[in-house]
Amino acid sequence: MPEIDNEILLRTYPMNYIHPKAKGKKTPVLSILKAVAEKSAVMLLILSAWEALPRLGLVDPFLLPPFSDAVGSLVRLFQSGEMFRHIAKSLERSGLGFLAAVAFSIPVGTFMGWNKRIERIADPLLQVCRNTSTLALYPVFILFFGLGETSKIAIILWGTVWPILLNTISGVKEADPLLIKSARSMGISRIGLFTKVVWPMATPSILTGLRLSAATAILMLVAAEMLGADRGLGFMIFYYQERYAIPEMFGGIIFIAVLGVLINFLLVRLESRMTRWKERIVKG
Amino acid sequence: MGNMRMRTKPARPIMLRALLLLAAVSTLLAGCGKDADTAEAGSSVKGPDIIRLPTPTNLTGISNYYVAEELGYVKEAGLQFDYVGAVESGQLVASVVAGKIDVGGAHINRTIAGISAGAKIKAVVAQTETTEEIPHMSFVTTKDSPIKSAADIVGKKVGIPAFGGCNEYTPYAYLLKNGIADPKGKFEIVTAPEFKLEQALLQGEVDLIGLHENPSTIIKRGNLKVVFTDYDIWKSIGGATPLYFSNKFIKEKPDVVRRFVDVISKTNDFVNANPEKAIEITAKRGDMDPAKIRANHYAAHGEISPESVQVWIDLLSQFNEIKKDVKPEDIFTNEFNDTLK
Amino acid sequence: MRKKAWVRLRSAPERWAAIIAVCVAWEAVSRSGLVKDFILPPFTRVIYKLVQLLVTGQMWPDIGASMQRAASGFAISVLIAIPLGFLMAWSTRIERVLDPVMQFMRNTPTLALYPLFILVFGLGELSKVAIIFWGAVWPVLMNTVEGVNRTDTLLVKSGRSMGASPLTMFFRIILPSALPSIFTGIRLSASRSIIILVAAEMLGADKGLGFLIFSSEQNYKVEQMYAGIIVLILLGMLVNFLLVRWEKHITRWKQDITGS
Repeated sequence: MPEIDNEILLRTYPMNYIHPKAKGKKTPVLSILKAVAEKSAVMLLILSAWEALPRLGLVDPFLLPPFSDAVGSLVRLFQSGEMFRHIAKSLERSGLGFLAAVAFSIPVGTFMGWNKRIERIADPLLQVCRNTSTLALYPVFILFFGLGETSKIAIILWGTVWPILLNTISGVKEADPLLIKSARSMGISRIGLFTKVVWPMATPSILTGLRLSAATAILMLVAAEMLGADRGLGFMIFYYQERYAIPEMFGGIIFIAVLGVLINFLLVRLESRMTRWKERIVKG
Repeated sequence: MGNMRMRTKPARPIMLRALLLLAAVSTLLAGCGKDADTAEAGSSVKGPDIIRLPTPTNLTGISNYYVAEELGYVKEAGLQFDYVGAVESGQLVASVVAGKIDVGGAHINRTIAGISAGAKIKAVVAQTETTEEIPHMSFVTTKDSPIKSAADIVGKKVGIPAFGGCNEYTPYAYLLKNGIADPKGKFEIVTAPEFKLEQALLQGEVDLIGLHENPSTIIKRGNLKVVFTDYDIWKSIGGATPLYFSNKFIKEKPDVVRRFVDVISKTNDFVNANPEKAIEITAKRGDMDPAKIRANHYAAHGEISPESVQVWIDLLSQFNEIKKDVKPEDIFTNEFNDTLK
Repeated sequence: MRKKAWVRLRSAPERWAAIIAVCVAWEAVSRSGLVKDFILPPFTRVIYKLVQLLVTGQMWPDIGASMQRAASGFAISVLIAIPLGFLMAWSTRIERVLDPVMQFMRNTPTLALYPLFILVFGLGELSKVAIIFWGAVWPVLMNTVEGVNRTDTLLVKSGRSMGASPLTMFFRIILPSALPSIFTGIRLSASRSIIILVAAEMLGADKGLGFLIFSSEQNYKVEQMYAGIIVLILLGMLVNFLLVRWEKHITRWKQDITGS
């Protein structure tokens, strides 16, 4: 059985089973405030250390500029419009790589999940591919696709294709055989079988795959834009580093991290919304 | 209860393995600690003073570190070179500032930009400089390319190893010199490591590439031609690559700096007088083909010339790359160079 | 038992079919001249080169250096992540406090953090190990938290009602039920530590498989480059294979119980 390992990498924690959240009778405002304070405590601690260390001269500001400087530079980059150039280009690359991965993975994954034999044959290869680091293949991508856009999108594609593919396969494979049998006995058409029975059952798994891939598409940007780029979020990090514009560089890193967290958060929300029906059924 | 006992069973190998891991990590940590100890012990005993340098890798020219060691200059001066590993050129200034290495050196513009950005470093001894035969950079295209002059470069794709510095500003300066105002943005830049650029050029992905190679070796390859070099723009002053220390190191160990500068300036003069021997040493130590090493010209007595610094301050400030108030005396000093006195 | 072995033997060709097909296609594409030699040399020539590098002993220092880095980074991440994971799962407050920071950390590309790694850990082995740690720590951590959180509430409640001490609860109920998930995490982290090797060795290394790949590329030694990539893949497969075996072995009790 091919475990969908990646799933766990970016999964947010489920409900805490050991300590079910107490349904307190406190005023909601207070508890929200408390939650916010708790959630931001360590973050604030780290950020203030980041601010203080260079300000107090404990770390050379040339190496680590104060947090406020980095944010200030980021704001300036937004004001000058420079940032939007990078964002647009990177989203284009990530988007294309991601879409290509989806367009490939969902049909192929469905096919492979459905045909157990083919899945058995292909699985070892998929495991090998998934466990091969993109960076190790970096020179190969450059050799094959040159320095242009193709190789950048190919790199993102390589990073994003496996989570969706493996999750689609497992989702389809683990679709309840009883439901499939009964749908068949009711004389469902082949297309109907997929659209009405198999895919809905595989949806949670596929959605997890999509979310992981989307997050990876952002993470891959830095590697993809290491060579031959003249704009993009990954590029700007290297670019400002070359220029010793260290606050700008950290501004870029902050932005890419925020973007990754944001995309992950939105997709988790989307995922839980779209899979809510399942919980309702199970609980009902 | 039987089940319970079964459950605890697997715990034992885990504990064992955890202990093994713990042991592995602690030996690792202990190892690191030991390294630090010995390093400190080394400096307190009256042994040679250690200078930490980036390991010369992917050499295209003579390594004067290797030459200085092989000639015995380093030992004579009571110094010892420790190579800490390859350091990417983009990380050199940061590594010196962070105190991870003691000496860094690349094209002077990197030093200027770093100092302007707040890096507390200072250049103390010159290394290579441009000659007509051996410029710092050559800009190259295919033999049948229509690019012949500065005007032809406008609108083309130019491949360089990285943004910033000599790679980016040398072509700007060339365009400026040939009457093309505001050259930034007049051509598209594609970055790739130098060894990839030639392939990109031959495959038509870029129209012009910047290489740190000699025109003669480039022409020898048959299918390429040189459009311009930094010598065409600035004669000999454009390609200085002095070595720098952190201000902290200079302040704490001025004597070590002085001896190091002496070693390098002596080595420079030796290399200029015996290029073949220097290539041979570099090839042997770097385990490479001597034919691939170029005989750079080194600044006589390691003297940093003010013009070689000024020319880059002017260019970089023209493009708002550095602060307006950067002065040559912020960048370099020859005061540790006794051979000049 | 005998039947099982036979089934495995029969499925062997199936399991290797796709990989062999890729190798054959590689050979064919290159030999036929569809793809140029300097882009993709024939598979057999790469293997020949690989064998040569192994026999002459040229490659062993690289493999050794890489393994040492990967193992150290992996070991440290396991040692830190498992206790931390238990802590986070045990106290929702700790989890709430740490979670936002960890979300950010996980979503920051390692490559972008090189300057910080150099600043904190220097240029030597330590920063390479730190990068591997950074890449490998998340799966164990997440899976530990998840494993503990998924402990059957019923078991916990009944344990409490039977008056089990916290220590007993931990060793008898929580740890055993979290183990499978933790092992999955350990295995994933081990694979990750191999995957991230290349990134770590891009940061100023003078040996190691990642270094070998990139320096072969620079010196136009394409066969050697592919040989390095293949070794890295094999290494990843080996680590994964061993840990899957180990995981199965360790968690067998679970299947036994559910089976009986």
